[in-house]
Amino acid sequence: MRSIIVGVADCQVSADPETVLVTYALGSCIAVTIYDPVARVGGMLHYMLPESSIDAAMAKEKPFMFADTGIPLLFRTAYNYGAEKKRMIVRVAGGAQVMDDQGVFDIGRRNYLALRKILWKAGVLIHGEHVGGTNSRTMRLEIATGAVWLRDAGAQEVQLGPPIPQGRV
Amino acid sequence: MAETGAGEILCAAAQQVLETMFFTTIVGERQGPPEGPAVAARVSFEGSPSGTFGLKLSAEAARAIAANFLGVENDEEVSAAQTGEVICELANMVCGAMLSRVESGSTFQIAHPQLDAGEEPSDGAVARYLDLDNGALALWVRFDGQ
Amino acid sequence: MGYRVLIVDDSPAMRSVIRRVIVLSGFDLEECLEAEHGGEACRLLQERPVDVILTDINMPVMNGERFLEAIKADQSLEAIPVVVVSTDATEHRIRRMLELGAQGYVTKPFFPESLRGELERVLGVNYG
Repeated sequence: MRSIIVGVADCQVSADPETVLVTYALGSCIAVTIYDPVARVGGMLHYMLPESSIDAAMAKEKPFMFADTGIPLLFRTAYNYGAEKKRMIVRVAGGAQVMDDQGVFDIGRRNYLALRKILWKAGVLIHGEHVGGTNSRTMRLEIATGAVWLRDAGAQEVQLGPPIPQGRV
Repeated sequence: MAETGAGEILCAAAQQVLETMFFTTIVGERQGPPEGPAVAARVSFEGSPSGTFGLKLSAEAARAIAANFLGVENDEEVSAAQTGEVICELANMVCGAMLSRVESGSTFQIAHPQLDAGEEPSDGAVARYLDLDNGALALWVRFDGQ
Repeated sequence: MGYRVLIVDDSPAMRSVIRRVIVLSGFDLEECLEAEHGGEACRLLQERPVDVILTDINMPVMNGERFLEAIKADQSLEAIPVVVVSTDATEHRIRRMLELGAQGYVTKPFFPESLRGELERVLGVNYG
């Protein structure tokens, strides 16, 4: 089993059944995992901010920092591995109310709204979410099975979303 | 109903509706209604209480909100007619969310919303003016018998 | 298996959103009928069979409550599952519609997943 860490403003996609994608310290950030159970391809994005329009130069350099540039790129990368949008299983975590450097409390909620807008416009529904609150979260995605595990601030790890039937078409 | 109570309920209803299906946040209060081109709708309701509810959105907010609701990528793809239909449904939902929050033993009926010029009643109405992340919004409600 | 659906709501915008949620949820939509109020819906139901009805409450001509009463009183229609989709979130209205025979209730505003979940539950399916 190989762990690949997804950092802040980062994204990883894999088709390797030995791989687990994991991200830590999800505060106001949002982590989006996608999984195609037929192609057995999965990806995870960890983004910080909703809109790239505030800093177009930064968005070019670090597209995974923003929801509107990161999410489409996550999906497109997965398509390159053979994933298909209509089969994609989406789970989401994060968006907590925490104070960031600017003292802004609502960035978590705005990140969540940005996610919902982008997914709705893209025609993708969510299959599991663990968002809001005030705690930091850890999320991991097993490429072999598509299972997503969530830990909420040191509590027990729980599986997020319904288990994916193996061999589903 | 006390004015501050009605005002708070108006804002809470608008926030819930705007965030859930229109992906729009309220960023603060403003001094007055939107200026310039706008889209407005009103809807009357019966029950306990009865009255009229209205809202007015700056034109660019109305188009952005319509694109968000319908799931259309670009604001330009949404026609004026579609924008009007969406704003009518927004008015219907904010009014319904407001009435669902009002403590009342009787059921309410909401009439079919109508687009209009966005004139607020000159008296008896409770109004709130809000800045959104994509424009400006005015909300008002007037309860009969007040 | 394709589903035949009837959406009853006086808002064309809301009808298109509901239709989109049904399709994105993975249901094979064989036919999607639409009506602006209960009277038009009753007429459509006399001509075409459907597998599920989604209805608003506040509509002109014939509202959702009277529409539900009408179809539950019709032996040829009473077995069709009905999901209410309404801004009315009051306890007494929800209870009333369930007592009249609605199998599901989604309050507006809703996340698409809520409507998907209610439809899956009422139709006894799961698309993941």
